Amino acid sequence: MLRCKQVSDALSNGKYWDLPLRQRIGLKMHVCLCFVCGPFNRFIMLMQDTTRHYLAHEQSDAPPSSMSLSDDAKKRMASSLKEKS
Amino acid sequence: MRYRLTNETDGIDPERWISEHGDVMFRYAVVRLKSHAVAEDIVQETFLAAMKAKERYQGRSSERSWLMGILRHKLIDHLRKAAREVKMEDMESEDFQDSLMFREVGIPHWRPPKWQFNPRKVFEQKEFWDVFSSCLSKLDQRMNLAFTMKELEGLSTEDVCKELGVEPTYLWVILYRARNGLKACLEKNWLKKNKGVKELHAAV
Repeated sequence: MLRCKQVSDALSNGKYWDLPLRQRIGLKMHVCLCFVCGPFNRFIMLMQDTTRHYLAHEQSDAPPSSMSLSDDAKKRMASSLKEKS
Repeated sequence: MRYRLTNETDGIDPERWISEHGDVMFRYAVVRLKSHAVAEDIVQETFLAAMKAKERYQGRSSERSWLMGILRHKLIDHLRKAAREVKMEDMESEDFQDSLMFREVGIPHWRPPKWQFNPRKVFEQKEFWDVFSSCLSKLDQRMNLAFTMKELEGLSTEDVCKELGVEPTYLWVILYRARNGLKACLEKNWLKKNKGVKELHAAV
């Protein structure tokens, strides 16, 4: 059985989803059952999971207008690229 | 699916690249760099590098993935430089760093901060990821640097610590603050956004 410190260290050194399956099972069992580190490490795992899902959406979803290139920026970029091509 | 890199006249068509991939690439850069101007420069540099390297593009991956790969390399180089310039030790240390709990169990508190909503229930909503990206870009520069290198770009703890010139325990503290800041921002903005939607539905 893993110790709390090993679970916390594994989560701070790498992301849960990047760990090998066997380690993931042991770790998940620990955080589900442990009343010492479980609640906190579940928070870390939730944040890592949210970030993992964000990364998947980031390259496929169209960004909101506040995070898109302005029309001016696009024009500037296009003319600069044409000049150098 | 294979993508054409060139237009009918066999010349590069930067306008198509910009209109098809520019916004996604810009968001990727601005979330990690916090500056619209620097993000714009990096996206432009990426397109220039892609134009020069177009012969090497084999069409094995999508055009988007190929461009994102180049962007990611440029961005990591930029982050490494930025990390060397930022002073991490200016940040105050936390009380829990010397506590028995942190040393023995590796956590700061028994109880984690409570969520006001369950993020897993809104993973399918595109608007949630818009809020998430805006919250990431609002993190303090040092937290953003550490979070980007470690959690978004997946660099190793050793690598991030070396670049930032901090001990692993201190990196843990920075990431802890970043996660807390992100959570608080998500709650504030997502609930505010949802309240607006609910009020709109109620009005209709």
